[in-house]
Amino acid sequence: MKNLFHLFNSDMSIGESILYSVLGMAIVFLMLAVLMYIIKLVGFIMKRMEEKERLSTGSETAGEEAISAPPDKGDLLILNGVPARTAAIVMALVADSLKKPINELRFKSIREVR
Amino acid sequence: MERIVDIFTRILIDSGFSGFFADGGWKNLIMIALACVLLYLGIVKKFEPLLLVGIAFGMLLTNLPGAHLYNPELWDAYSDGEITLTKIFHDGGLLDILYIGVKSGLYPSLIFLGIGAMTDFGPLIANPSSLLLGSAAQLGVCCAFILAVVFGFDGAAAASIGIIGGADGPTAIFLTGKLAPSLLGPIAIAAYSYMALIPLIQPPIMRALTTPEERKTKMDQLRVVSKGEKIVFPIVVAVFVILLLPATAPLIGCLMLGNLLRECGVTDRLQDTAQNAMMNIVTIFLSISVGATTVASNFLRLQTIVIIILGLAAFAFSTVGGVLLGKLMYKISGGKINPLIGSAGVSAVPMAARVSQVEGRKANPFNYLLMHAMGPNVAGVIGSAVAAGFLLALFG
Repeated sequence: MKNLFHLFNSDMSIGESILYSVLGMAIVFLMLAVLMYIIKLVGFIMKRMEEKERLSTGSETAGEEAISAPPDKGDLLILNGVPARTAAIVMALVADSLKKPINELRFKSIREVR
Repeated sequence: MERIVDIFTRILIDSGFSGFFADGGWKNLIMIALACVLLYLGIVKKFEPLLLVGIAFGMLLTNLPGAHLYNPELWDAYSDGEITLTKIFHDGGLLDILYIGVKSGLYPSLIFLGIGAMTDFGPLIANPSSLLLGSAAQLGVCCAFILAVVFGFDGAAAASIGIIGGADGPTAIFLTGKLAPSLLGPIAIAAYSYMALIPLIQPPIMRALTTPEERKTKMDQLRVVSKGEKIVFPIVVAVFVILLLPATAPLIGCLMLGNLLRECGVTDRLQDTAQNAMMNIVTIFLSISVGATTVASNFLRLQTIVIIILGLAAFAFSTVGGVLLGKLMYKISGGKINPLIGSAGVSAVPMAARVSQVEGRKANPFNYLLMHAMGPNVAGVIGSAVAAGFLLALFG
């Protein structure tokens, strides 16, 4: 085995090692700082795109009332004038009859049948 | 009768037991005892058992005289360009062949694939400034590098010792396998032992550097990260980091591929294989091959003790770096960031984040820092891979 260790007698000076360390730290910091801004930018762009998508979905059903669906679904639930409380009861009843948790179901719209 | 005695004598001489009485044979006995201590720590004390048990058993096997499972002289000849891998396949033992995966950087990269498949980068995407904490916690890499040079290690060996401060086993093995393979055993053992000891190493430093007021800080809930962001993240990170620092390609490439398998939602089977079956198989190969490098003649040296001490210093300085930047961010944010999450930037997922959570709750029972600390924690994985890439570009 090669001996890479000679007590207090390295092939590199301490000054050099400090220089490399400062350089290394600066590169790691700068790279991750730039990456931070890139992630922020990507997040901003994605958010805008999702908002646009949401708005275009909303304009197709203009005049209809909309509320947010369960947060993990990210869809819009169209209520068609049905009170939110009534809609919640309907959703709970459907979930119960299907024997599935409500957050695993996807409700697109609720309309009163006359 | 004389023939029978002759046969028995020959069997005894050829057996491994006679090796203990040969020149330097006592060193093998010490290594076997050390392997048993590590097995005890892994099995009974549960110090990183998934890795330490394999490493300790590899250490045991490689130090049994006559077994010839691992032949360091072959690897020395290979490093000097005197023989090729074909010769190692032909003349080497089982562990020589498994060790090719360490030497080529295959196992650490595949481990990173599994880590990527297991890691949720959501907390980091929700709070990208966590990346700064992940970079500050690489301070230990630099300090240990300087100290290693002061103690007399050459540049490549000092870089390998420094990366212990990244608190990331696969990264340390990857870099050491490339730069200073003869130090692989002590460096891997130091890295994994200190990772297991993080709940003992970090808290005193965290408490010494922060005020009770700072530790009590409650942080706002993180925003919900959309699925789209989580899918784009690994692609963006891989492209950006690898283009800027190509030496990081094996580690960052595999880490981000694993994460993409997790987040894209259409490769569930691959994600499952990457984080379970593949990860387990590679862990067995990696640990036993690393253990195999701890041959007595190479391990029982003063340099091993120095490496163990420097490894501890590396972990301590990394914690200091993370906490100090956490304090700075606390001041800049007007007291919105708890500096305790800075210490989680040392990687060691998720142990370091748990330590931040525990310390935070000691100061304020209503403090829930775990998810906030996971951001710097996974940022530390990227940070240590970038630091390793820089050192590899410098000394490789």
